[in-house]
Amino acid sequence: MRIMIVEDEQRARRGLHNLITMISDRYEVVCVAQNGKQAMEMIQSVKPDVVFTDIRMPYMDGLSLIKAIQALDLQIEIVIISAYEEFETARQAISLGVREYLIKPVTVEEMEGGAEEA
Amino acid sequence: MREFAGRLCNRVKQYWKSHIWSGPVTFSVLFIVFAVSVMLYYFKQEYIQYLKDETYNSEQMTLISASRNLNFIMDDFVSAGSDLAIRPEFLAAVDGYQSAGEEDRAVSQKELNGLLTTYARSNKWIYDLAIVSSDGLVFEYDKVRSNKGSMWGNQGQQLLSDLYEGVAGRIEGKDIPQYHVAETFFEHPNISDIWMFSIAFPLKGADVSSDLEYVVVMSINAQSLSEAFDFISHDRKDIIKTYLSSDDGTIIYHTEKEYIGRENSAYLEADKLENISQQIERAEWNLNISIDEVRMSERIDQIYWTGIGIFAVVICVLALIMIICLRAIIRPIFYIRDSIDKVKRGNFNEQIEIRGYHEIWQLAEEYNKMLIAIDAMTMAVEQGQQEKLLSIRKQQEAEREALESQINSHFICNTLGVINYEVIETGNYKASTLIKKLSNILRYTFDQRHQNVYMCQELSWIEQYLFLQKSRLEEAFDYEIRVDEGFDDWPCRKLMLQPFVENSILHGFEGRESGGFISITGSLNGDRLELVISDNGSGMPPETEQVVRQILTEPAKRHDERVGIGISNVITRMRMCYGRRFEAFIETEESVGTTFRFLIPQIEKQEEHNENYDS
Repeated sequence: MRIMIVEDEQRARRGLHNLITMISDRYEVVCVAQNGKQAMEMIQSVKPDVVFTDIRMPYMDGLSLIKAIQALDLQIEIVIISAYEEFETARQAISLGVREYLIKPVTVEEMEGGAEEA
Repeated sequence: MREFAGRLCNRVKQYWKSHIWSGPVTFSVLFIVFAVSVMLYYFKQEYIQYLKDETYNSEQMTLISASRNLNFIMDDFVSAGSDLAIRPEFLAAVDGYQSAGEEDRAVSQKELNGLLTTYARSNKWIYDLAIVSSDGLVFEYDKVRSNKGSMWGNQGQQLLSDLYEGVAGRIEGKDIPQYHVAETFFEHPNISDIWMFSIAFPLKGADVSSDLEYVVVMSINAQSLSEAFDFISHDRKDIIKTYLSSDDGTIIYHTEKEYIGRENSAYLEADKLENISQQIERAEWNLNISIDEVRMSERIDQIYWTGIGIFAVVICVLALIMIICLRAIIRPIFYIRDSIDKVKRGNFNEQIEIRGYHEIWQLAEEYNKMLIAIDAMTMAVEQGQQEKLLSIRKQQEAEREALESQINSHFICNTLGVINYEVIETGNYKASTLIKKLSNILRYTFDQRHQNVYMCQELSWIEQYLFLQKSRLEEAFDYEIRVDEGFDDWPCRKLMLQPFVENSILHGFEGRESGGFISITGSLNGDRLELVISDNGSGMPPETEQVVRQILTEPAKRHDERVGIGISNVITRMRMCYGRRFEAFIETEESVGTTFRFLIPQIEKQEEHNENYDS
């Protein structure tokens, strides 16, 4: 499974990358981006199966990224990993067809569940 | 004086306006006075007319009877006089007396005197018998002779002469009867206040066809007529006047002597009298009855005004009774007014003493109930205000703390996120779980913007809290959360259960290393959620239990600040959130445990506060 990570904090990007690769050999992080804008620049060429994205990011936030990805109609599953447990954001995300909404910090069990779901 | 009258008038007006019974009583009295006055006036007029008619009718009858009576009386005198006048021995005695010489005169006089005495004594009213010739008085018998001389002595010669001429005229005119009744009454010259009248009879003896030589004049006390007069006037002498008049309209005899000799018409006109009369055949007199209508009206007026006076007194007494009764009826209103004055000064405790059962007393009773209700409501409002103030103060404190913790919240949670990755990379997944739960708890706790949450969030938080506490204290206690389905979306206040759970852990299980148990159960009780938090800890001492029990019922009241500050705060917030249907109870026993029981109503979630339920 080809995975893209979109996260503005460097340590979090690295930690998430390590966590995903640690869970299973089936998961391959093919691309990491610092924000939604950067992710959109790469996604056409990378074409990941799953995008793990944060919500609050500079230039383009997570929800805008999700809308942009869906506009491309690339059949990409999206999992949100956010530090903010906000009802309205979660509602919008679910309405946009997001597969899973994980709250930071993410445990191994949660990541396994989220990846399996995707 | 005018100023005093003005003040008095104003006070009466004020009194009249300020009493409910003044109007009805005044108008009732005025109406009754008016109605009765009109009725009395009508009855008076009718009675006057009736009395006049009745008086005239009865007096007409009386007059006929009285005139007949007078004729009978006169008949007695006429019979006596006629009997004397036709007696031959009497004529012979008079002739003998006239023709007697000096030596025989005494004998003749004695004989004549004896005869006259016999006749005079036959009737008590005959006071005098006189023999009169054309030359004047011949002989006289005076029953009441005094030292002043006889009645005809030196006076009344003209009357005697008139009487003689009257008899002579009747004989010459061949009138029947031949006696002549004088048309003049006169006062007895020797006896004061005795009035007399005279009848003259022709003295002819047995030969009635002989020429008239002598006339017998019988003088009678007019008192003899009084029986007939009294029969007419009886007890109404002030209204009914009785008198005799001659054919020429002169009053010849009257019970009131000053009218004797006056013209009848002038008398009637002067005294405004109404007159009826009847002729006395025996004497050619007219018996008159005059009715003093003015006097009669005055008498009726006197009765009328006496009646009015009595009526006024009765009305005043009635008005007084009405006023007393009305004042007694409306007395509760005075009590209510006094009570309202006290209420205006803030005294709600003085109740009206109920002394009766009628509608106004019932009103007073309702007023008492209203006072109790107002007092209770006032206390409730005051308590609500205190709770609100306390809540606002706590809210302000929470907001301040939220601002202070906001920066820390983001920093701590992000830091925990980094630590979590470090822990996972070292393979310590249990620590990652602890970090995860701690992070959730801190985020929930630090988020001061959202105080209204759902029951599922609160229960989730308390489960993570208990998990961390259990991890911290290892085997000191275990826990169980068992809440029936259907309460997940019930609104509740954030962290409202934490103080009770914390109380169990910090105080209930203090010093204990195993065996502790906390149970949280939820089920429907009526239309409220019954939430029970119980532990098997050390329980509370009675004094602490007492303080906590007071806090649960009156959280806004100032308590011992060393005990239950957290419980007091959260109960205040729960009251503000759920209202008066929220109830909290405690059961605790030392060495047995403590149970908090809450009855939580379901409240409507306000649309504008939806955001508050976001988390």
